[in-house]
Amino acid sequence: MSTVFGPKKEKIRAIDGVSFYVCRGEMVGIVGESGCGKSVTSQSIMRLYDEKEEVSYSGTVRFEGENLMEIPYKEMDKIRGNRIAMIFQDALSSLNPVYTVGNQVVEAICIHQNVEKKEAWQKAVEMLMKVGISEPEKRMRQYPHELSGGMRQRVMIAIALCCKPDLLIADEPTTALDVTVQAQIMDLIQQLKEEENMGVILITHDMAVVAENCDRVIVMYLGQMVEEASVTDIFEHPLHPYTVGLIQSIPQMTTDSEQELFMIKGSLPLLTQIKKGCRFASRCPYATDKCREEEPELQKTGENHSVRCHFPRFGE
Amino acid sequence: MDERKAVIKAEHIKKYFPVKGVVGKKKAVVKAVDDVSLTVYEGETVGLVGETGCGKSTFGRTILKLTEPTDGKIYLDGEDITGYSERKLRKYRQKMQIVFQDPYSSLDPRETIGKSLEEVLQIQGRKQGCREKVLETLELVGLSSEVYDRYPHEFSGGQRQRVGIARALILNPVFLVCDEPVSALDVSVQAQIVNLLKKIQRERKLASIFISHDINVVRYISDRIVVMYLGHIVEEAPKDELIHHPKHPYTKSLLASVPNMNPRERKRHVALEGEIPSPMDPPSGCVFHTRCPYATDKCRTEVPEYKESGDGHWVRCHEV
Repeated sequence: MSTVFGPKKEKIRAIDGVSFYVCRGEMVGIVGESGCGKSVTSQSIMRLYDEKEEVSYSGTVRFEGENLMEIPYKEMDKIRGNRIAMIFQDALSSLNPVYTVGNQVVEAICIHQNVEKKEAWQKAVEMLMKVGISEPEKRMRQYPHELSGGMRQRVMIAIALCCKPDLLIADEPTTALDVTVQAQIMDLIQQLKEEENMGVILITHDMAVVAENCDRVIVMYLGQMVEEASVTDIFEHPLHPYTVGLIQSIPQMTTDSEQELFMIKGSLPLLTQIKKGCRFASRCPYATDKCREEEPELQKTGENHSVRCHFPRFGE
Repeated sequence: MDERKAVIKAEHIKKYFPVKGVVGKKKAVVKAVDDVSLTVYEGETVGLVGETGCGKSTFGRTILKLTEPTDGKIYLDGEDITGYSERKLRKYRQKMQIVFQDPYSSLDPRETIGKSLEEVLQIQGRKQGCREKVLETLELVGLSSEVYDRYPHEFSGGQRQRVGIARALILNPVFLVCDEPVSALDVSVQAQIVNLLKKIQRERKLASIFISHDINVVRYISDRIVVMYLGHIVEEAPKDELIHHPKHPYTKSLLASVPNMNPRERKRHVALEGEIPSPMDPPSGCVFHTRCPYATDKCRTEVPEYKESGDGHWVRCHEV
């Protein structure tokens, strides 16, 4: 799948040839730094950019056999929030400040399910209880600003899960939260994933959260997938120099603090500056002339391991 | 007695913020920092960790007198600066500086980097050699001289943070507060800034406080770590002692919540239930008792003393 932004003259290929799959009961992590296209990927799956004119997609998104890119836009409403649900980083801006929490959970239920308001209210209370909110009856009557950050994220999860989706897309769900609350929220997502047997796409910049939670990992850099593997392979045998750098540059409890931290040199170039060659070449410590001239393909190196690099780092 | 030179010493600092009360109700106060004492020595970096709302940033600002403490004393190089007026403080400001999380909001968008940095020197009364000093400082933080004529919006997050560090260092301070300096940066850039800060702290023998919610980064950069909870210090110790032998139940659960980079050693349990209580109405006795798995009746009524248990390891808990 590719997504292109902008009017004809200055097109930006925000994501370029991204292909992956998610199974039921599986959590797939998409990691990368700002601007790598991880959020664009998820929002393209949901076709959230459709109403903006200057966007065009190519490729396919198959959901339970159906190509989401071809179905009429109106039909998407039946899938969004119902069979594929999404939670975002900032729960406060996803919730409507002038309606009570209860109102918003009930609304989500009523849109997709054929139930009476009263029944929906009851379901909403159950849902809040399920996501670990104490005194759900009281919380239903409160407004978003009266809840803490962790509590608001729980409400978002309740709204996302009230229709029992087959796929949950979590876009940086814990980035704005403290580590203690982050552990609680991730634990909740894990538990619900297992109970409902749904697939989860976890989008994050935090490698440690990926290590704790995901089954498979996709590493993205400037709109492209640079590596895909199982979570143990990514951390134990990373092949792409960017993945290696990402893992090494994060200090650990056991890192020798007398030694300098590993650094990826330079900073992210602009997408428009790259005309040819590997997109990571300008920051890669191993780049050769071939890397600067010729764009590498995503190649399979093992059963579940692919990498986009001319010289993968075997044995490091 | 400690033979090291104490650069900054804060004693029993309190910072209360009044909250606009509803008519007829008693006026409430938020006890953001409640009786915190801390000494930072020459060449030492103290890491300050805790959850949102624990008062770590407020403490960092109060110790610099960027906000007036409600109570307590601050000594800079042995001199009591608590009661000094803004005018009198100006001279002392060059000795103590701060690096913020978001340098973009602390830079004037209409001024070039060079002019912004020169202004810092001019305010302190320096008239000659400003340009040279600016260029020298830019080089120190790893920026080339051509950034002198550029504007803040032309920079990436990492470069902007380098400018923020240059701004703090240009007056040759002896004491530096870093308030979440790498939290807004991407991982690959974060390592660059952490290395830079560490190098500068070493070369200049700076006394500094490093505030962050990322315990791994704090451990890497600090000599000593202080843990705050709801406006109080609950534990402090040399970094490896604190990380590997934490004594306070809060520190233990905070460390247990930090995700592990090894997918084969996953933590499959929630270390700490609930959330931090409101500082407007802090719990009685030990402030942590509402979330503490070991809380007894004594914890609910009696405030625990802050006592030393082991070499340089201080902890505020009845049960240790």
